[in-house]
Amino acid sequence: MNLSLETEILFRIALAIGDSMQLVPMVRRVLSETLRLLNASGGAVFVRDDNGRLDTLCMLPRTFDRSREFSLLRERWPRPDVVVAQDMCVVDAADNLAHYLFDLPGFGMLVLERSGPRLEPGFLESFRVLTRKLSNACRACVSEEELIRQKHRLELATAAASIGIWELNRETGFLGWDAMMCALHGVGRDAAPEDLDAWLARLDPLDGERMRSDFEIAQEGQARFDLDIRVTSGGEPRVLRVLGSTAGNPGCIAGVALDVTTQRQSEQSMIAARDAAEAANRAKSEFLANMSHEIRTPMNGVLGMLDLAHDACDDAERREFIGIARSSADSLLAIINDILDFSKIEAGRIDIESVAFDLDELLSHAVRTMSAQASGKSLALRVELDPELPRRVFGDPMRLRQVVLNLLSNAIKFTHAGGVTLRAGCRPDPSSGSTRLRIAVTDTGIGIPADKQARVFEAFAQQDSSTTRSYGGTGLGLSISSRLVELMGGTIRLESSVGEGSTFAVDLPLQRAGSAAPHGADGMPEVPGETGRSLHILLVEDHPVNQKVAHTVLSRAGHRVSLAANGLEAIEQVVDVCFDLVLMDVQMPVMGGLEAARLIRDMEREIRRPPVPIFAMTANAQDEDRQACLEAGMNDFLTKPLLPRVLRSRIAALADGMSE
Amino acid sequence: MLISLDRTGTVESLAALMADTAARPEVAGLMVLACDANGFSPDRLDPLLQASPVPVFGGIFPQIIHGCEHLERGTLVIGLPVAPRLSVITGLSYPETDFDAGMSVIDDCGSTVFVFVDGLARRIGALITALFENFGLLPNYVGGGAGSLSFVQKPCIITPRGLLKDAAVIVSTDLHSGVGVAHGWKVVSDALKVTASDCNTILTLNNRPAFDVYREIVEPLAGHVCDPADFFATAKAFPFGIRRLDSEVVVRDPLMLADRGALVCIGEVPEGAFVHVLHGEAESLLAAAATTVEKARASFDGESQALAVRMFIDCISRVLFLGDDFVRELEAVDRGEPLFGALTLGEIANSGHEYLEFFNKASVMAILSR
Repeated sequence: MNLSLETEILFRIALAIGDSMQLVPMVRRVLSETLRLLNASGGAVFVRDDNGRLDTLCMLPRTFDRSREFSLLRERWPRPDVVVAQDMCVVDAADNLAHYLFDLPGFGMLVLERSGPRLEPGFLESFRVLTRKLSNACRACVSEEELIRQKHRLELATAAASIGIWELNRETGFLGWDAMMCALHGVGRDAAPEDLDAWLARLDPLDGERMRSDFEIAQEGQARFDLDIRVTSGGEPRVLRVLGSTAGNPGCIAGVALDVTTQRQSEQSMIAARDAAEAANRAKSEFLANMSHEIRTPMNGVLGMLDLAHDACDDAERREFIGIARSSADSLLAIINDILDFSKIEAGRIDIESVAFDLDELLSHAVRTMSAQASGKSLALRVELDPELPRRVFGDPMRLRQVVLNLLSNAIKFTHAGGVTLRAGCRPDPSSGSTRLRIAVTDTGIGIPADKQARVFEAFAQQDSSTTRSYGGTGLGLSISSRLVELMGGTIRLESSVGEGSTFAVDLPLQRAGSAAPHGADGMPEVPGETGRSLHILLVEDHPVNQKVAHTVLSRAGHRVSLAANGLEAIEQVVDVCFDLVLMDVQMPVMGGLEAARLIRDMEREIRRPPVPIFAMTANAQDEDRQACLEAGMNDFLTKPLLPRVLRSRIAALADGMSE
Repeated sequence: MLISLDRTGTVESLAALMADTAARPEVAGLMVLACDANGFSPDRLDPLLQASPVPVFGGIFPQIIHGCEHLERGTLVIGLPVAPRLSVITGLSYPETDFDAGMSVIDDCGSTVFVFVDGLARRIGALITALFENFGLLPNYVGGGAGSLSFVQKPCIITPRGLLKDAAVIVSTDLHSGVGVAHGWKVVSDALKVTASDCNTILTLNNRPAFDVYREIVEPLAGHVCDPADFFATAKAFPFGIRRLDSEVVVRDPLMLADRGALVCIGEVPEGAFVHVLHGEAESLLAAAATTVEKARASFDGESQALAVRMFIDCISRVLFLGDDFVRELEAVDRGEPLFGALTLGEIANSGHEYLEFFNKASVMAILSR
């Protein structure tokens, strides 16, 4: 073969290689051209599978393997691995017919059948270069076809998920959108924007500016961006979430867009539902506060009047009746307080304060409070305090007292013989390096079965309904105590044996306080005894019963009492008279107590008069109510129903302070 | 195999001849080879063809061959002793025509396939490639391009449907055959790269108008100016050739000059191909024709050639080139056996061991036997 013919043949075959990126058409074209130029009578390209087996990809002519000559030569083909090792093999037959087998590295094998003189080694060497190129082209086609398949799958997935894909070439500025991007924006493929400006021009100006800014940041390779834009698609306003980044390719920014209209609508519905729920919760809390006021106000009257009637009655039998009524009213008040406390806990409206108080005194007082109940059942009530227990600590004395009283009350209630012991001590906590306070109430009562112990801290869960019938109570006490202890950062545990008794142990973080409590930050230890000093007190109260109760209590204590029915009347009197104390109801017609207190303080500053002590009286037992009173300039806070004993002791403390 | 000749070239005579031949009990099909000068038209011929009691196929050619005669008028009717299986493909020049589908109707390609094609169709090469790819070299092929020396494309393919233009008829038979092909043209130029082409029209060679390049090579060889107005007078002696390995070049006959120096050939010339200018002498052509007889005998796949007839397909341009000497070509292939054939616009032949090609300016001898 002369060189020019060889060159012509190789050139023509080379032109066909890679002529298409579709595998079978490309191979068919190469094979056809090769057969024509080499004047060959047949040929085939085989694909080698993972097991080295050859599968026919293309055979020309289609009848190639049906001839007798083919079968004879096919039987003499070397094994595929031999062809791979040798790169090329020739199998000869009679009549100058031969099969030329060429390895296609990494792909398969090419077979040519040809009559006539053997192809020259020099030509075959050159042809080998082309078969390697053919192999590369075949692999490229396979990759391309796989890429197309994957792209097709991706398009299916993005279409199913309504995800559009976009790409911005930073060098050319060309913006590419896929079909779904066009659909999301409600435009045809021919109307798709071809640069960023054209895209942004379609958007709301505010969204456009935000997106331009995000693009600029992303172009600097600093971040991926994620923003929602508003578009109109099919006449409907839609919200698209656009995400993008350079994704490691500084030449372009690419990303996706998806329709989040429904999601946004759901979010807005959820926000509306949440707002409605919160509004309902606030309404419930308001209702709770109102009910608290509405319930405590008449209770104030009941208790006060019973006290007065008891003191005023000389007849022993009547005094006994009044005492029973008073006891029942106390029980009712306790139940009301439980329910209101529980409701506040449920509503998350309990705030735990941290003030310095006398722990020793708090515990001793709790025991003293319950001693009458214990002795009534002939039970020994003991208190054992660890000598190491600090006297003054920080915490919420009111809530701690509530817990201790609840535990003591339960212990006495469920114990028929023996006694109840309150133990308190402290221990170091190795894990935190702090100190823990442990208060345990142990009784010798009926005990709680093991299978019921886990439920005693649940609301409304006494052991069983017979317990309620036998022992009374709301079943809320332990639940409230447990929640309060949790809010104080502690735990409460139960150890109990039926017939032997129970121990409820409270474990709390303990923070020591200095020996001197900061002024006004102490708890409210009751000051025993009466003062001998008479005070001039302005009682501001609109409710006639409460007015009567308070007036009687104060008068009997030797104080001089002036009356005002609302805040406005109170101000008028304060302007004219220098009272020793103002007892101010909060909720009143014409002018409430808070406003009156503020105006009184303003007036005092204006005329440089020393501030008169103002104690709030309110049935609103919430912490924020207390805070509101202090912020209005009041000095102390008394919760209705006003207990004569409490009222007397507070005023006595005030009078003592004045005496000093 | 029954060979009948009508020298009048009339439809009536053809009708009588066809009727007589088809009436023979041993005849299962008819091959009709007619001269362009007969002036057959579809409206006259179609009723006759459609009424044929046996399958009929063939073509209208510039001339026909009977014995040592080549006739410009007349019709040959050959009664085939075997039933032919036909596939008719129309719209040959249109790229969208699916040749594979057209050929799929032939489920058995037999041992000998006759192919007659409109010689002025633009995609004859593609048809031949499809033939090779579908049937391979299991059968022998023989046939050629029909049409007129006026080079005006008109109905020229004879089929049971009628006389068709821009069509091909592919006929598979169980006849035994041997085929020989040769042309005798020699390469007289360096390779010229076909830098632009459109099917059978070469637009540029070496990036210049094809005619400009062609005349620069041919005029010194011919010793005269190539007159664009009488292009074929020169071109018939200087065809193009595409080289193949271990075989004669494949001739592409430039028939006409087209706009902007393009050259229209018989058969496709693919873009990127290298062509050479060829030239032949009378003696080399005659010698080549003589070899076809021996080649055909050598490749005959039947058991006995005693009852064989010979079919000679020769290129009409050889008549134009050889002139009066063409009789010598027929004498060169005469072996005293029945001989018939046609002078064609391009030839189709293969004896089983080479890539199937569409030839130009070639002689094809086929020995046919039941």
